[in-house]
Amino acid sequence: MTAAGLSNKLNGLGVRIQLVESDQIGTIGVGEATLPHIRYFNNSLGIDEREFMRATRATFKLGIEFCDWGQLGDSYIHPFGDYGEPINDIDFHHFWLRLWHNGHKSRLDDYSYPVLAAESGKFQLPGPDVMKIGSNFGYAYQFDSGRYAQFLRQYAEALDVTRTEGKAVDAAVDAETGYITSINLEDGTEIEADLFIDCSGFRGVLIEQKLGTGYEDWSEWLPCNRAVAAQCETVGPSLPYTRATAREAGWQWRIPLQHRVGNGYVYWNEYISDDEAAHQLLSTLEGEPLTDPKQLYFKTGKRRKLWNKNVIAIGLSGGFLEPLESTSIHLIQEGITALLELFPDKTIHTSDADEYNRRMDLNFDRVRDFLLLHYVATQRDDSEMWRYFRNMTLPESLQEKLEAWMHRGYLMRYEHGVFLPPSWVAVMAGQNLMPKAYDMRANALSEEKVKSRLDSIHRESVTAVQQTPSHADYLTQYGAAADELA
Amino acid sequence: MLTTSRNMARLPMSWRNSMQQAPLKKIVICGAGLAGVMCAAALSRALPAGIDILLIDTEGADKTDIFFGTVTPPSSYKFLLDIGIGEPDLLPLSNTSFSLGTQYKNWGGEARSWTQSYHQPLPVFNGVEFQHYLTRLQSTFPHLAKLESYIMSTHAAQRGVFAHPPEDRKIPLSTVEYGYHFLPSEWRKILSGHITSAPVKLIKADIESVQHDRHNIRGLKLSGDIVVEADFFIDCTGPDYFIPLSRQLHRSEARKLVAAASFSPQESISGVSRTLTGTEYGWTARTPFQNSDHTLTICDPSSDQSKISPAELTSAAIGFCDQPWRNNYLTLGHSAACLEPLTAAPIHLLQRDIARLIELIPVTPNMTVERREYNRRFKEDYEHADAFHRGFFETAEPLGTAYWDAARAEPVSSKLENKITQFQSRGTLVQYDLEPFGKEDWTQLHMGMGRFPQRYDKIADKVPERSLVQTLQNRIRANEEMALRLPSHYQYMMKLLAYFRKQA
Repeated sequence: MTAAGLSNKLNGLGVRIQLVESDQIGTIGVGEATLPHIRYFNNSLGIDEREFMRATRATFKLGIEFCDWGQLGDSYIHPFGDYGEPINDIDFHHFWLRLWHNGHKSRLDDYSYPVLAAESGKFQLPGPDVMKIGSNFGYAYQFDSGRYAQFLRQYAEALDVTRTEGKAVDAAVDAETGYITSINLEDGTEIEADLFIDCSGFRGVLIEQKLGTGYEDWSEWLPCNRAVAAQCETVGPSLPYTRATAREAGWQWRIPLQHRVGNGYVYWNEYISDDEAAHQLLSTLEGEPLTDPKQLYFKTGKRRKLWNKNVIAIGLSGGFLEPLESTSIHLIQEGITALLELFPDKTIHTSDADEYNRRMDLNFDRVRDFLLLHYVATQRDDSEMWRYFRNMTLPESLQEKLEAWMHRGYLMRYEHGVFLPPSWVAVMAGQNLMPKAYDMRANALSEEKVKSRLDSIHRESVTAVQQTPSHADYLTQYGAAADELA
Repeated sequence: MLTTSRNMARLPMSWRNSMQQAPLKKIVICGAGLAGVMCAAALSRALPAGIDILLIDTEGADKTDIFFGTVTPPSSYKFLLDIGIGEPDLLPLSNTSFSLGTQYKNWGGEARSWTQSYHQPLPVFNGVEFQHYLTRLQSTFPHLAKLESYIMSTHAAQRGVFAHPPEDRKIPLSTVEYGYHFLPSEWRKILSGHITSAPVKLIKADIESVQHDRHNIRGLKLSGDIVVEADFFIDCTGPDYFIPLSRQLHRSEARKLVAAASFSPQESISGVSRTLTGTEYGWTARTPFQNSDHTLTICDPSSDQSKISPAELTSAAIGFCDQPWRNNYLTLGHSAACLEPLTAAPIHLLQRDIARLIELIPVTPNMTVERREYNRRFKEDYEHADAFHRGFFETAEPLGTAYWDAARAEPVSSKLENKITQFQSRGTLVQYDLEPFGKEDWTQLHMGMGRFPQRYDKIADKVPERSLVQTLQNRIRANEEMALRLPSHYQYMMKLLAYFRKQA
């Protein structure tokens, strides 16, 4: 991804890019669901959507279904899009809350076209009129990340990125500046460069093993520290959404691709053994397993600096947050985008690194808080893990957000970050955090008018869904289905 | 879905108790200067029925209204519309004219001149922001590297022409944004006209005493033996803090300024932007209204004021308090903050304060959440505006005058430092959450103050020079041709007023 992103933008500007990777080192092989921002990344590279989807066996994604998070038996979908529409510049959910408090209860999901479409297994691209229901939503993909990496590697190599097969085992550091001057491969090759992007995974060969940057451990907030992953056959039509099901010691993902389903159990080994986690995962697969369970170990957190000296850590070398909201690829692409905006000259300015770190710190912090929200916005106390979260002292930033929401349905806003107000509404309302009050301006309209407006939005959404083809059919119609699957 | 009870354990006790208490029913606003009247008008339109608003017209609340300046930001159009005041209501009934921004002249030791125009975001080519292309061409095509050439509002401001921007994005005029030239006293009068009936009641009285317990205001004793009680109090009495509890607010006051204003009648509108000229004692701004020019002078109190207009002088301390909302009372307007009217920031932030209050009008007597959030966003807004204003004084050649010394004595915030460093280093525009000034404002300020990037985003080099030069020349030409076709501000205003009269 980094090679592709950099080569696309820097091609022809006298910057030589060398990609060093080893077939010996497996990739994590998961992280297959994405966020809508990936479309902008792909577009900026000039990647054809259909071609990309065929190559990566991708399905469309309208959101994530969360099961058993608020209470056992609950489910809701966090969609890529708003609920309803503002009325008189007042957020829609206040009107919904008003009716709810007055005894007219309805699902907030009923006012979201992407949710209704996902529930019906339907999909089509949004139309050109973004004000229209059925066109005012975002979408992302669910794909084979290994194939995506391969796709991008070919892309990068076509743009004169030199690929070197090899495993970096050491690096030389300038005694005076502390900068890395070269890396040494296992076969003895030495590769010099001015700037190094460390995508070596959790090890952080350069950023940590060589520069000793340090790691901020966030396991206090997000204690899950292991995952077991397995792929299985698809049963039934492929669905346009990811599923995250809360378990007693973690949660389980289900990501439907064109040709198979990716599954995994993210868990806290304090409360479940590796064997038991693998057993639970395998016993809940809907189709025949296609792979043996793959064990993964991680510590949630981030490097103290993602850009240190002349090394920039992108991907797992920079930090890790569990993929509950499909943020892994997004954070990589944010890192690439920020690097391109702050790309150094021959001289690396401290100010560039400082600004890069400021932006990425903000990204990571805000994703962390949003992920933590899922665990604490719950009524579950049926296991040790859930009781841990219920007794947790929250970061002040998150505590204040929860208080504001519970008091009056108020959303504390920020501008820079991937999860904006509609996402917070989705999780908090979806997990049964019902505010005690709402914006009183929602009382300015008569109850009849409000009901009528909401009914109209629901009807329009339902009608739009009825006119939408099934996801499986659309994949074929659109030309995104891989040839052997079309 | 059921209201959860299990999360109650993590919520503060006072919050939990609030659920049983009655909702807000009565609001008292003290002070009927511009801030108080604007607040009353906005609240009366925004809030649902059942909430009474009492506006107390106290002596002297409008004393420092001069420090709101004479220019508004583009957001004022919607702000007023939400109150029920459209341009057909505003323009015929006041001296208000259109504003494309401010032309700064003779600023600082280098006597800089530039225009801060209201404008849509600058274009992005090939994923690279516009300012990088200007830096790229600075040495080879310096005549194409002037930012002002690409800002349609500046073209129009320099020619004194105006028309409402169309929606069609293909027309250069569509990139223009506009505010107003306004007089606080006139707007106060117009806004007062909108609050002559329920739910706002207006009384003229002075506050004799405040009835309060340790934290909350319970009532006010007014002149004429009137006692008023309310659930929520808004202090718009100005910097003299008629509500004693407000005096306890810590306020960071950097310096004091003195203001004076005068008018000279004009037969036609003399321009479409304010002209602000740096002087040895501070600055003087000339604002063109419909039938007069207004001159506002701002100076340091230690300046020789005999050189300034003989008009009455008003002084104010520039700064803002740290917690404008305490318990059940809020300080608003100059009770909470006073900014130098160097830009449209004073009125811009007052409108943001009022909009924020409306969004956070308490739903119960427990206002912990509203208070905390209002204060947080207030502080951010004023720190951002402060940083923008401070940016006017960050120059290699300051003037060695009392005014400049006092302005530069203020520390440079880390955010401003980062913005300047990044822009000067590589043309990057650092933005923080929800700033009142956008990238186009900062770009104009940086370049106006002579802060040019030393390098630029090399991806800008991927656009072939010939194509880039052609594109930029076309843009300049389009802006110039557009400006030539526009009527003068005066002509446009006269036709517009005639149209409004016909429609009325």
